[in-house]
Amino acid sequence: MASKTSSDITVIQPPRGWSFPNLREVWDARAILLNFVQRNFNVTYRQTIGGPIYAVYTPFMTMIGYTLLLGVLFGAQEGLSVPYPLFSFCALLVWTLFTNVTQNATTSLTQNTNLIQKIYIPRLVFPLIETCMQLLTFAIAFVVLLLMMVVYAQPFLWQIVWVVFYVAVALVFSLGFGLLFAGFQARFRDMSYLVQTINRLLFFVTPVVYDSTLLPAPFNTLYIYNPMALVIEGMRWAMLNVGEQPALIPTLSAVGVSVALLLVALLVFQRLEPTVADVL
Amino acid sequence: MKPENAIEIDNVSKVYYVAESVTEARGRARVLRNLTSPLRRLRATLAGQSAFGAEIPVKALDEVSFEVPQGKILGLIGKNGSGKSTLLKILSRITAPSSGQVRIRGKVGSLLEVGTGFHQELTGRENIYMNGAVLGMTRADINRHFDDIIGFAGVGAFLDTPVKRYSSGMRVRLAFAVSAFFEPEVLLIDEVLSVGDAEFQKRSLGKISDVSRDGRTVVIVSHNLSAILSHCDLVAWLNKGKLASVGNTAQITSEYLLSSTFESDTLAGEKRFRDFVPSDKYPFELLAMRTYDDQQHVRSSFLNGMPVVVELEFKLGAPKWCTTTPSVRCIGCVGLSRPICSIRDRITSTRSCKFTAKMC
Ligand SMILES: Nc1ncnc2c1ncn2[C@@H]1O[C@H](COP(=O)(O)OP(=O)(O)O)[C@@H](O)[C@H]1O
Ligand SMILES: [Mg+2]
Repeated sequence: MASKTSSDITVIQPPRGWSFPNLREVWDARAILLNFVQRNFNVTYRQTIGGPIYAVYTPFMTMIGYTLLLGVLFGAQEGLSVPYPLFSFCALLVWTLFTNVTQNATTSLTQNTNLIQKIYIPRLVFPLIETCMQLLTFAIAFVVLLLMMVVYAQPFLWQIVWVVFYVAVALVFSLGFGLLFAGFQARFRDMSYLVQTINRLLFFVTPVVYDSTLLPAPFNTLYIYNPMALVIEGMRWAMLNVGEQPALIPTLSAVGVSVALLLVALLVFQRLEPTVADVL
Repeated sequence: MKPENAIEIDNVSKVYYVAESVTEARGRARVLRNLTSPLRRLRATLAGQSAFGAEIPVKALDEVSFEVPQGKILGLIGKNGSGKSTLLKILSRITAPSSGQVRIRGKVGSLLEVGTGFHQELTGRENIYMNGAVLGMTRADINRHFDDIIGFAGVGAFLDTPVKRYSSGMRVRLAFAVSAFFEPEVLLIDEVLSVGDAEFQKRSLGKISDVSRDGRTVVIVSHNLSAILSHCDLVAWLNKGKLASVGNTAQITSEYLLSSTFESDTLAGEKRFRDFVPSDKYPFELLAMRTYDDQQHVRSSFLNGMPVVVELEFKLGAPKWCTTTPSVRCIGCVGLSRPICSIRDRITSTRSCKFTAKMC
């Protein structure tokens, strides 16, 4: 839509065909992004009593719920090498990261209508703000996981460094997913319901609260091609040494799917971005 | 881009899609069709067209071209819906043009229509920093202007209160101060002068003059033609999305004024009174009042120096209790804050009177 041709001349033109967002422009706006993340973080917890406790609230409460339901009532602990609360919380962390990034990125433009219609900020900044916010939230929850591991006397192993890789895959996949819908959400407000529904369905085919070794054939070999399943299996292995590290082929597939999704989503986002303010 | 220009607008058009008004039956059919074809809607959206098939395109801007030299104040005038706000939105990159090109030299600060680029949950202080960051200012730059901004906006006591608790006047003042004091090379202002009180309007116009004195460029939309006349170096007049003319402020403003009064103001130049005074009680009943120009056209807006013919239509009755023949003496003055004419004239006609005044 616009580009800086010389040091200070801005050229504003109609969008042409399919293109990628101007990442340079987004990079130049990084100060704004950080500013927003910091401010949003303050705002989120300003009018609450609990403050940043809410960062871990969702995964923690879900973990307690499933521990009572599956762990106590349905004997999910059986056959597990680690306590069920650790087993589920470790996965719920990344799962919450995934659902929050997808849902908040989807609504990031409609949530900021006020700003988008009044001042120009590269629009890609808004889903990125949500992504950074959720990454921060994840970091807080991750500290809680580490504390839980200490409480349960769970050993820390060298493979914990792989967490960075799996979280990165989860981020790329979630951002791609959310970006794909963000531009459409501006026009069709039902996109966020669609995203919620997809998330809910994905929850069942992803071994978040159950043990993947319980899956019957052929699902026990197929499920891992769901990028989130791979991330969760990877996280459990890296943190808790549950099972084995996911094999190379599914790993490459998850990376490939995530990157491809993000690229397509960027194209779609850029296609809708220039006129998004007209329909908000 | 020519070195003396701050803004160059080149054949810019903008098409919006608006819902066509339809009969109820057709509307229902369309809702059904839309419900059953989500994929078509997605495809239409991606193609940059209307997402609801049957909508009709509206040209909010139609091949508009003009230039604004650096350091000048340009007034943008035109009736409601003529595309003024759309043009400012394109200049500030809120929305992309459908065709054409705009070139702008330097940072752009903008204050668009109602509402402000503020985050409602954040305090005034935080919003000032955020808006500064958006304009590419460093923290030190922002600090340098901070006191000027809160001084101008007069929000000192509310600095650490979330903006959502500000009055609308405070919000506008702060928004204006933020966009004007952060020294953008180009400042775009849409009708904010009509929002604040008289004192704020005066101060903001003063600030706008200061801004252009520093060699920066201002584009301002206003319906306040006297403000346009006294502050703008040039004027662009938009009519139904087309550029009607651009150039000399006084000339174009009066062209605009003349055209707009002939088109639609005939009614406003006439005021009819009904049951204003119960006629059985008083001998004098005012029926209507009209203002004419010297060509016998009824109109409501007049330029300085134009003769104004004021006509009063009334009925003089002779109620039974009245012992003398009624007559009317007109001692009047026309003008809001100060009289622009006064008449002392004994009126003898029993049906209407006309007198001529001169705007001065
Ligand atoms: N987001 C939009 N969607 C559809 N039509 C719009 C939109 N914004 C403006 N318009 C239409 O474009 C025309 C010009 O509007 P605008 O630029 O706001 O006029 P002005 O500011 O001169 O009153 C109007 O007919 C208006 O209805
Ligand atoms: Mg307007």
